[in-house]
Parts: sequence; C-alpha cells; structure tokens
Amino acid sequence: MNVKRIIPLVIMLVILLLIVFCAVIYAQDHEEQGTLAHKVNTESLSGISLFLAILYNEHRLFYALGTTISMAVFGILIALSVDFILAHFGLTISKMEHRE
Amino acid sequence: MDVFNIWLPIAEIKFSVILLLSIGFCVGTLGGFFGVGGAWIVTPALNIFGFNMSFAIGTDLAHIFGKSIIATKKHSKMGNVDVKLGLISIIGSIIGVELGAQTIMFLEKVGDVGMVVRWIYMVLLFGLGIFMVLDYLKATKAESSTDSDTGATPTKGTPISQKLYSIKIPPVISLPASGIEAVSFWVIFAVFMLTGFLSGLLGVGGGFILLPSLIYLIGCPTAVAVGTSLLCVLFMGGYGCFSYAMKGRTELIAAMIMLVGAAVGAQIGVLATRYVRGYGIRILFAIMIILAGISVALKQAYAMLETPWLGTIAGIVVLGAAGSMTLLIFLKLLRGAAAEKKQAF
Repeated sequence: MNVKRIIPLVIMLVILLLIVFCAVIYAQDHEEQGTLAHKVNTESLSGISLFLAILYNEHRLFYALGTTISMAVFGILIALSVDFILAHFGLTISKMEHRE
Repeated sequence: MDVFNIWLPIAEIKFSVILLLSIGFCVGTLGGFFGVGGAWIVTPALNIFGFNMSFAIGTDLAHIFGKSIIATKKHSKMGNVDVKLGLISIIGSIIGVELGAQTIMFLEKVGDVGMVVRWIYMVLLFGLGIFMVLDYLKATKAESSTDSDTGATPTKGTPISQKLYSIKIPPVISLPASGIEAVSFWVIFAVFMLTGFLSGLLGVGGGFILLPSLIYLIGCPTAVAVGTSLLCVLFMGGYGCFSYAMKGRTELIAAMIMLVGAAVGAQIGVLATRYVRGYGIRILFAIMIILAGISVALKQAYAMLETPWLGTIAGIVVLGAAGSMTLLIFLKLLRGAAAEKKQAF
C-alpha cells in the first residue's frame, strides 16, 4: 500500500481515538452526576433484545462502545457489500469530473 | 399493520419497521446528495411518530454515523473527499462547537436562550438559502451571457474565497483535491471554527452550515464540498453516537434498521451527484434549507402562540420537503443514467 495513502488513515485513527478518549472522560463525568439511573424493564424480553437491555442496564459504557462500534462495522459492511454487488453487475464507480 | 411493528427494548415503544426504513431511505438520499447528516429531518420525524425527543436525537446520531461511513466511502471513490481539508475541518469544528456550547452555557445564566437560538437559526437558514438562490440566478445569467458573448471560462472559487486566498499568513498549504493552489492554514481553521461555533450555539450537527462554507468561503467544487462535509459529519456523528449511548438515549435496533434504509438511499444520493452539476446541487440545497427555515418559523410561532397545530404543520413541512426532495433526486439520477446510456450507444 502507498505510504501517502496510509498517513491520512493513521491521522484519522488518532483523531478518532482522541474523540473516543474525550467521550469516555465526558461520559464518566456524567456517570458521577447520576444520569445513568434510567433502567429498562427486562421481564418480557428474550434473545438479542434481552442481551441489549442487560448491557444497557448494567454495563452502560460497554453498551455505548458496542453501539458506536456496531454502527461503524455495520456501515462498513453495507458499503463493501453494495460495492461488491455493483461490481458484480459491472457498475464500478470511478473518479468524476467536477462541473459547476 | 401490526406485523411490521417491533418492540424496541431500550426506547420501550412499539415502532413500525417500514417507517424506520422509509425515514432512513429519505435521509440517506439527502445525506449522500447534500453531504449533511439530516438530523433536522430525522429527529422531528421520530418524535412525531412516538419517540421521546432525547431518544430521537440519540438514535438519529447513531444512524448518521453509520450512514456517513457508507456515503463518505462512495464519495471518496468518486474523488469527492478532500481528506486534508476534512481533517482540518474536524479539529476546527470541535474547538468551535465547544466555544459555541460554552457561549450557550453563559447565555443561559443571563436568561432563556431558547427563543434567541431559534431566531438565529431562522436567520441563518433563510439567509443562507436566499444567498444561494441569488447566487444561482446570478451564475445562470452570467453563464448565458458568457455563452453568447466571449466564451470565457469562469474563475476558480468564489469572489469571497479569492479574497481569503490573498491572506497569506504562514503556513500556506495547498489542497489539490479541491483544486486550491495556496491558502493559509489559519484562514481555513478560522472558517471551520466559525461554522463549529454556530453548530455549538444552535445545537445542530452543522452539515447545513458546513456545505455552504466549503463552497463559498473555502472555494471547493460543490461535489468535493459534499464529500468533505460528510467526512466531518462522520466524526461528529461518531462522537454524538457514543455520547448519547452513554447517556442511555440511543435505541440500537432502530438505528440499525434505519441504517439499512439509509444505505440504499445514500447510494442513490451519492450517484446522483454524478449527474447533477454543482449549481444544480446548490439550488436544491437552498430550497431545502428555506423549507427547513419555514418549519423552524412555524415552531417558533407555536412556542409564542401556543397553538399545537402549528407544531404539527412544522413537522409536516419538513417531512414533506424531505420526501419530495428524495423523489426529485431519484428522478435526476434516473434521467442522468438514461442520458449516459444513450450517449454510450
């Protein structure tokens, strides 16, 4: 892989980590203020819903990290899948000419 | 129909899957085409159909994060993302947002700032919208006279960006992806701090401020402005998603379902930018933010007159605008693709 292409990715990763770091500190601050008091009822839940509800009630930090990471992973997976499907039908995206 | 309704365990409400997919699809299309997160559409939509306001914001931010990844990747393939500019925008915006938020905290001590914020929001939406419409009309007029008279090509950037380029405070950087040869780093940084400040002050994602800023102040081509704006929205969405999830205000299942709809919509929105020229995107964006301004004005009237039906109309205006614009973008894509196919044969 070209080094010039790696540098922006590394910078982006560092910024992302910094943002997550700041968010964790911010979140801990809020935890101390008792904003995590809200709990959901798990009585009628099962499967994935129950798992999410337990995570939400008992491990809020993991719920937050899980939500953020799963949205990112899901987004990347969809983007790759769509690219794959489009390429399969011969629809590849290329650089476009900018017209004003 | 109950068969399409699912129980959302965290928000603790029953919600229609079809509705979530539709909202996701609409906002995905608009996001891919305009480079915005679309919180001003999703939040009222979820709220109108039964979500608690804070859950609506948190769930929306989570889906914006996932959607922005999809749309940014696609725009990047089309050469529409200026990574260097995007990174500067993120740093500048974060500082600006914090300054804006601190200003709100200060103003809150003085008195009720809600009304003031809504007025600034309205002025900004109508001001930007009208400015962009006038710019479009001016450009159309100039284009027709250029075609008939001299055949000269238009200059790069805008008159405002040209003036900003002349400020040469070191370090001076180049942005090849945006076609900018030399611009002071501090000028760009200041622009993003200003847009971030406005976002923090108004409590909005800021895509609708960032896009015109990239076009008119920085002088990016419209398609690059859309892609780069999405890169910034991606980081803001990621931070917002985590922050709201930590506060327990994100419904993961709803966000995932919306993301499926948004993924399809984003493909349509991004591909449509291929067939619509820069000024076409600008005028549609201007119409969209003027309609959003009307919606905020109705909300303001509702707050002042305390007549509930004005609030409902405000929601209908924003949802109607989003639906109509999605349809229009889809038609533009179909027309462009058909014309391209015809040209190929």
